[in-house]
Amino acid sequence: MISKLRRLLPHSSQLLVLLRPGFLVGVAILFSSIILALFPSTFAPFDPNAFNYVDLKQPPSAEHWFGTDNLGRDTFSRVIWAYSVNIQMAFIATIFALTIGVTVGSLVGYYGGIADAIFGRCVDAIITFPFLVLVIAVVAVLGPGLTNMYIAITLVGWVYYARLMRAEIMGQLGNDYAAAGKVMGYSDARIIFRHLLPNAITPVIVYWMTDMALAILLGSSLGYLGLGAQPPQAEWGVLIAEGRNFITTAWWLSLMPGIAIVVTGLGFSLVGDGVADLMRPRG
Amino acid sequence: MTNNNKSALQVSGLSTSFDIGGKPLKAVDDVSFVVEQGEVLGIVGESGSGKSITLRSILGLARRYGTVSGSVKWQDQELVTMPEKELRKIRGKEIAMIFQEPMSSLNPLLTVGLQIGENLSAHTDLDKPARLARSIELLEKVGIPDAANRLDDFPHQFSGGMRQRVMIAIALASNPKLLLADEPTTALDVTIQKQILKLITDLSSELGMSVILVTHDLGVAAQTCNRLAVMYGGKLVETGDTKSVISNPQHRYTEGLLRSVPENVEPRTQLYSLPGTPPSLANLPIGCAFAPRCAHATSDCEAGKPALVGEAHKVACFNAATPVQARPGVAL
Repeated sequence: MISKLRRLLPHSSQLLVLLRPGFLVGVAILFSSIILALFPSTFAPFDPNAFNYVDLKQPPSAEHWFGTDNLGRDTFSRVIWAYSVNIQMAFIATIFALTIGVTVGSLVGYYGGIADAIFGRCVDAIITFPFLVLVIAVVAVLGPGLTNMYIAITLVGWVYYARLMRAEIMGQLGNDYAAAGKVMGYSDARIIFRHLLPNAITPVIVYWMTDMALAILLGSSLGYLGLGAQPPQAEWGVLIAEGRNFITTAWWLSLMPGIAIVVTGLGFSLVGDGVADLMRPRG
Repeated sequence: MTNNNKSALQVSGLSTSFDIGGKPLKAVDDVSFVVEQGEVLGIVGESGSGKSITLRSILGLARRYGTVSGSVKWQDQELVTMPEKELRKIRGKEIAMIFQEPMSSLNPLLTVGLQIGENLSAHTDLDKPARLARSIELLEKVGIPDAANRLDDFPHQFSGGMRQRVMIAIALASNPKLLLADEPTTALDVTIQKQILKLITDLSSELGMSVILVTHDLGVAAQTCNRLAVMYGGKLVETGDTKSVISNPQHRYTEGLLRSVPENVEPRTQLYSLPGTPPSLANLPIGCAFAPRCAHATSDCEAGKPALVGEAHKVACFNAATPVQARPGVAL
């Protein structure tokens, strides 16, 4: 048990990374974002979808911190409620791509041969297109909506994980412990998933951290374009799109969710950087 | 020695070739030898002579990358054509292997105890406490002090020599009958090298385990092995009892190797070194692979490949050294 704990703990010099202000700020942002995402009703003062025809397009005030929109909905409450959708994006839009990518990349990297050749062509075909364009094309085929957006991002995104994983597995194969596993009569599955994968996964985890920040941006972009979350659901991209028509008269409608995107993205990036520094010397 | 029925491992006509840019590259060419039970056989040769590939071909590790033909008979089972699934039952259980680089042959993320236990659970029916006890016993057997407390340590907490001992302990976990050692001491310093070799020979005689020791160091082979097989350009050029090969080398290559060992030479004289470089396997001469470097080469040597002939001491040479010559050799 103690040995297991020791294995999980980084070296003491690496722990200094944890005390860097950037990392601490990132953790604070990430932590509060997750709390807001889990309990939006506790923090939002108003119902995000309740119309209020008395206070239309009110600028920020003591009552409505981020003002109100053209239907009198409280922008602050809508931004808070959007946390649950946008933070969810960071995880759901990446976790399936991560799982599929790691599995496919490991197998292809280990077995090589024809599977690897076919995989290589698929990767070439997918990365030829700009990421966003391909995702939009898939959403256009499947139809707009959050679920279809997740499917589209997974369909395109797994390739990047798989590519990274394949290269790492091939690098690890050069170490004798891989051959030693084979010589000891272990099954391929055991060699791949127990021996090679844990040694190869570090860069993939680091990439995953940055990819989560990108997933929030991508999700909001698609929401803005009307391909992701659908109004009246509160989602940052949707909120920005809704405020677009009133940008000259009610600037807060687009600015406030925009700031939320920037701050959250920054939080994920800072944590991602810290994690990368934490893991780099070992990997 | 000539009773083949008792041989643990019989390799005959083993060839392994790789496809390099559409051209076959023969790394191992028609290699035949036997390993008796409890015997230590040394395969000696320069880098790129095909010794490691021979070893890997025996266990079916070269299959994935190239074409293996010929026959490897392990206790009446043919390993060359055996399906991967059945081969897996022999690997690690009956035939174990240790590698050159003790730094990379252990998984850096798993404790030593877990790695020994893993082999035990793959090949024995022992339950968890029994595996633990056996792990400690194995580590003690290979000379790791305070074995019980080191099971929870990671490979990076061991020195190179200790890691090689751990590797040997893992290899011994399921009482293999044959140990393939691929340059096990090359990465270690000389004193540790001696200890590890002694450990391997002691274990061999204690457990009745056969060993094939691949090395480029003739001195190491001479001190450790019962029999020697000298490899050059993917072929065996000379095999025989260690004593006979060292004191009475017949192939000109073996002779040259022995002359390059700096022993019994006058002070301040130039040391002998074999002229030329080993041939590229992709571009072997039609005749004897050693002919271009050989001072005794005849026209026959350039025309065809000599066969490995002889009784106990075999040699593949058209113009072999006469057996009576006394020669400066390695102290036995």
